[in-house]
Amino acid sequence: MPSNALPTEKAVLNYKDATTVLMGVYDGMQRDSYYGAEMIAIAEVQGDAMQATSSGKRTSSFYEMSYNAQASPAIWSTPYNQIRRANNLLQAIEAGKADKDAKAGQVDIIKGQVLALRALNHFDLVRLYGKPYSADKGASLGVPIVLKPLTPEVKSSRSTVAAVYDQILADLKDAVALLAKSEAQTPNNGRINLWSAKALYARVCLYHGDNDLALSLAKDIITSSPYKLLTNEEYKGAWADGGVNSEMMFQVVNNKIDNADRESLSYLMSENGYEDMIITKKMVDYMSANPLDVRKGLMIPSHKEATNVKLYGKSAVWLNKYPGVGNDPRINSVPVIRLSEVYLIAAEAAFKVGNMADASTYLNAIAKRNPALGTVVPTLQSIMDQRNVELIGEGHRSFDLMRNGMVSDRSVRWSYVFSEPKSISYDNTYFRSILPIPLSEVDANEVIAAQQNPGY
Amino acid sequence: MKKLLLFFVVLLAGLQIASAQSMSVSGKVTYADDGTPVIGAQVMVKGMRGVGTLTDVNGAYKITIPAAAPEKVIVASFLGLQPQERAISSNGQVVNFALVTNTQELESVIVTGYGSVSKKEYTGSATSVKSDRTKDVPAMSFESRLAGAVSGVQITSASGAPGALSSVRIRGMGSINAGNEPLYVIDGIPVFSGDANTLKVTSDANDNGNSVLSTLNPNDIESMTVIKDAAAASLYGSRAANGVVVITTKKGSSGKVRFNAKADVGVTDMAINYRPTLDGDARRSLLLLGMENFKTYSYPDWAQDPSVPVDNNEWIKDYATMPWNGEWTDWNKELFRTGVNQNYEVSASGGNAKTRFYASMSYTDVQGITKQAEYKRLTGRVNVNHKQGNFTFDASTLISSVNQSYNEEEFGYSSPLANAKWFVGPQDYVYNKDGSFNLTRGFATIGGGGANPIYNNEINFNKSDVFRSFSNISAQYEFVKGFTAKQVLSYDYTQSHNVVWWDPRSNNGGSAGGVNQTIDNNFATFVSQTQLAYANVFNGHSISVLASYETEKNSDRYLYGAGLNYPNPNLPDLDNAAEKDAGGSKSVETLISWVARADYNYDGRYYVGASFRRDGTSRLSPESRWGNFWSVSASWRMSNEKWWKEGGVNTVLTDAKIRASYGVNGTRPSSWYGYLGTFGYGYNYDGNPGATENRIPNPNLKWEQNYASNIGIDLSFIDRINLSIDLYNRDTKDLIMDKKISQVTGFATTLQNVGEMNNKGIEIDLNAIAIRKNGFEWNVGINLSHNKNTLVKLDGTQDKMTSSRWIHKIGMPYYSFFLLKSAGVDPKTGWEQYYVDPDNGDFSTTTDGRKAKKSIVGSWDPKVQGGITSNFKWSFIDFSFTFTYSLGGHAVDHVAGSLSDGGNYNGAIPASMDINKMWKKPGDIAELPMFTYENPNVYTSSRFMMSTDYLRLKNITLGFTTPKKWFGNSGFEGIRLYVAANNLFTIKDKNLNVDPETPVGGIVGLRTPQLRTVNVGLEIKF
Repeated sequence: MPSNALPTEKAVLNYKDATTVLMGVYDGMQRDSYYGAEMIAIAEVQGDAMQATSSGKRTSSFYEMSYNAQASPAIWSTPYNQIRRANNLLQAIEAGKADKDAKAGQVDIIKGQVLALRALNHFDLVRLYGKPYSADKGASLGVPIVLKPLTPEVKSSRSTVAAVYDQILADLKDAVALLAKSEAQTPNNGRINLWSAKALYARVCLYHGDNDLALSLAKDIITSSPYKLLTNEEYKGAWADGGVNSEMMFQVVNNKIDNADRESLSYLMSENGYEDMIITKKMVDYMSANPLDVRKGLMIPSHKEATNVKLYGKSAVWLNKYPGVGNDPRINSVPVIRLSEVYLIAAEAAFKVGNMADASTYLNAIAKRNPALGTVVPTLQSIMDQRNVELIGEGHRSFDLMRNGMVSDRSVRWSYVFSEPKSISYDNTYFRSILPIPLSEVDANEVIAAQQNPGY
Repeated sequence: MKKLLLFFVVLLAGLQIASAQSMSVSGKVTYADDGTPVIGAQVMVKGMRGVGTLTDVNGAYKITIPAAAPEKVIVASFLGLQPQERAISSNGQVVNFALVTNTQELESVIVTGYGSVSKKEYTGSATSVKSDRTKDVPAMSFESRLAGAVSGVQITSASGAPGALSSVRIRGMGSINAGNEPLYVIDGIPVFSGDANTLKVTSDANDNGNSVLSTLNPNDIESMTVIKDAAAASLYGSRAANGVVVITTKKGSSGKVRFNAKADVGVTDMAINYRPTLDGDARRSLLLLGMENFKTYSYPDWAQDPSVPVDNNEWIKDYATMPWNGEWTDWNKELFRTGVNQNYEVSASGGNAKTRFYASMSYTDVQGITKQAEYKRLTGRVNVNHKQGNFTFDASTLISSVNQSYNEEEFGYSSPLANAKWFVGPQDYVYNKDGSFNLTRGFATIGGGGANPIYNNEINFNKSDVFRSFSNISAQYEFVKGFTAKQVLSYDYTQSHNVVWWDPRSNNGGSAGGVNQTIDNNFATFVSQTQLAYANVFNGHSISVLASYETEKNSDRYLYGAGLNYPNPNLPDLDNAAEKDAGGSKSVETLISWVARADYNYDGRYYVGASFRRDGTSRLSPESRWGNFWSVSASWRMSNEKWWKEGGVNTVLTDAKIRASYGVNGTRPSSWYGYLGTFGYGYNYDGNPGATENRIPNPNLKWEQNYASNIGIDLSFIDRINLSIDLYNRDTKDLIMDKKISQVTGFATTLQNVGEMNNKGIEIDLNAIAIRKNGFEWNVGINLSHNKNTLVKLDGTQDKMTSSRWIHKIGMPYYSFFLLKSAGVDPKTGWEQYYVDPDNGDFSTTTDGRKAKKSIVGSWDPKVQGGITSNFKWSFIDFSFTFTYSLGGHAVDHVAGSLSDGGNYNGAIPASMDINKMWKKPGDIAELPMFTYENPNVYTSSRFMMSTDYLRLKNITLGFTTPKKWFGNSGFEGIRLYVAANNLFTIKDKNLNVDPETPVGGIVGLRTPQLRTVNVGLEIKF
């Protein structure tokens, strides 16, 4: 045996081992091919608020959506590896291997976290590779559902989007039930607790069109959870040094000894890093029209005179949400869900069920971060505008546009030549609005080879 | 050398003594040069097969000539010495022989590691190289001395940096994942080869390594034998699929103690004009043209885009402003220097009839062609051999210490080559007007992380210290005549200490406040071999049998430390860091083997041999860890047939032999624990320990199998010209491949024995003594080999895999280049055009690379390669050289594609982008496409494939030795002055802008090319 490994069957023999393996599940979320960078970057630059700075950058192919069957992002394999990590632990828990040394309820709390994470992994896959649920009520192909560790020869097939959502919702429902314990309610920004599981549940419900359930879950969080919205005074400073603040519900924690290094999201967004992603001209123009918005405080102009100042002048093109722990641009935690999003879920769900009073309450709780706006009347556009400004850089924009049947129009941008002009402005009928199943999967799995997304 | 041979030949014994009425003769056989006894020399009665004896420990013999003997003549012979005949006139006569070394014969002793045998009697395919011929040629590592000297052997090096790893391919590549390097055996002990550095800092772009083989002083080596077929290789079983290189170190000879002191010094530069670049003016003109083309042809709507300046003469200032000092910067001059190397060595050897020794020390200091490339090596070796009666004892030890310093290579941001050839241009300058380093102009954005390479390389370092201690002892006892027992023990310990420092002022270290990464690695191998041998000669039958039981244990332990956030850039040690991180682990593996070998020959005419080895390795699961490997071989030496001599053919064709061998050997998986399903640790999160499954179990993993057959013929004309021709076939099966699996499982690949590969080829070796007269000696050799590599099977489901610029396709060479097929330049638009789908017969063209399909445009594998050697000696002058050549191979430029036609405006531009050959306006029939700012059409097409045909003067030595008589009996033997050089000149294709000796696979980036070294030296013998 190597001195740094154990045989698989001996990995979980007691509660302590289960907590160690649980950390291994969270650990995978940090990878740059997932929440470390790509998961967020794809959703951002496929939208209209952020863009790649030039061709040849790490996010260029996402921005141009120059996907084809040969060239596709690597983000397929990582969530599935995450699912395997989760299933390994769930299997050990179900076999009773985690029970030794555990106090009452402790194993449930582990299981609840793992189920919520497994749900998140499936959710990320289905929104990257499957059409939005709203487009055809989930009739088209989603992704394979995996509920136990698979042997190497297994060749899974894709389930429908609807079936995948059913599984995600079932996992989240179970997770919420398992986490309904007092020990799982205190804020812990780096772990799933009852509240962040509910928040993810609410988000999935919104995507799935279960607006009533989304609204009630969101309201429950807003009224009962220990999280508090940031005040306008707190807002700008709350993102410094890694972004642990009163409304952060779950983030993938990166710290000085454990981070995605130069491949991190923060390094991609930093002018002191790879200078990979910036705020589009369209969004900069929008913010210029809203100069009092506190969220503009997270957008800063270039300081490199010779290069970026020439290109962008003094426009605030750099998103400063992730300035880095100790200002090291490589190291910043990545938010997965926070209370502001829960308010916006509540507003959108309420609007969609015609509950304009709630919609207005929750929307304006966020919209007041721009004091110049006054009271905002909830419309799909005004809710989307607030989501856009509030959640920029957190991996929502293109999903929000696609699931609402809107257009991602990137015509107004900083100079950038698209190799794929059809991608400049598109909606969810554009075949590249979802990713191709990567060649590596198609080569090894003839079942999925026959289920490639149309157009690729 | 002669004493070494003795060591093995004592195995032969046993005699048939004829009856009475005959003449009895006795005497001694000695070496002519020093008078020491030749032990185990054969003394035979001429014309009577099988009648003879062997000399004893004192060189003494006693023989009886039967009355029936046709001639009263006895012949004394010994491997490596010229036989002598004496006529006997009386009974009881004393006849002493003083045998003279036969240099030609010595070249053809095959050392298998389990014994040695004359080439003329060998049934397999192997070539022996004496180190004498190239001993003065500066070399870090002995493998380079095989270049051009052995057919069927291809030696390449990823980098010319001192101490860098080289790759040796014997008869092509047989494996995909389990390694293609041969097994190295030093004085009978299989040794670890490869990289002593285990610290791979990926962003550091340095994987040239610090070769463990370079810890040996090449001049401590007496000879190297390259075993190419299965006949002897199967003795090494599960490690022998890629051939075996058997190295024999120098032993002492009895007699006067001889001292040898040697010193040389030399200079080094690049062997070729590596990737020439445009000078500042030419580059500026080209960039201006690119701007005009951009506005006229590729972006006619530019006027609507505020980011495009209107005036090109203003715009060009962004990219080609003359530096403040009024001179374009020549980065080649700034980043490279003439290297200097110095070598010193002393050795002593001597002994008496019972005990002999060889001892040496050497020191090598190489200052490479960049400021960071340094290599210092100190070696010491002692070999002692003792014989008393039936007991033989041998001991040897090597101590070696290496200090290596690297710069980044390939695409690393501070790589001198990447900077000089790509990242920075003549407009960028090293120093500001005030003498400080220029850290901004030109460096801010290149590749997203560019930096002044001179500054970075001044403050950052990457150093590797290797210490090796390698000791063997063996004891051998002949307990009954003909039966010998032997025990060998060996301990080989290599320690490496690698430090990578990123200064807080540098790009890499800046964000973390300085980073020190240190790794200590200890690699130890313990080997035990217990052997039993039997040899006998009777009635023309000669038989030898060997059995061996061997165990080997390897352990590998490493300790990793990292320090971050430093208070002061001058204090890079770990102690001074504010934040620290550490890691470490230990791995162990074992191998247990049974080996048996038997050789038989009748009458020097018919030879057969067989070998068997059973290996059990801990690298495989208990169910599949044992494997059997074997070989059979036979030869017929027809020139020893009576009819051959009667027919008189022997006057022209003095020796003729045909031989054949077949055998099975293997390759172990390279991973020590690859079969085991494991959870790994260190997958931590938020300050807590984490674990995750990092490998799925694979209990069925087994060896790769190599089925090798060989047919050869050896002919010797008038004892002056030797010709060998070998035909071979290698089928490797059960290749260990990372078989792609559905990623839905959570893993992308799993190791499985699925692939198959075939190599077949022909090798021709011709050696001749062109002149041997009046002290005038001239030997020439030429060899030629052709290998055809074919991928037979991949993972069983796919018929092709693409990676980088290659396609690995069934039925084609493994390293086939898969590129868009260029169809020249479209006269209308100026873009490069491509054939749409040449594989399917669609030869219409398109300028849109996305619409064209790639096809196989060539492969790396040369059709023919080999060497030409020559040694000339007359009086006090000696002169030798080696040419190497290769024809029919290709390389693909991995950089040209990235630089093409205006895609990069900030850095250097290759000189091949000749403005006069470019398309400029519609209708132009041009060789090169339009050069345009922000060229969007950047595809690696067959335009970037180049021929690697070459002829290279690999090494050359000219020496002058003072005649012995000058010094009389003073004990002083002589002084030798020499000039020796490597890679003095190279003839290659004019389009090839890199070294023709490409890394394996032929995709060429930005690594140090082969170096040209010219040394002068002085050697004193006394």
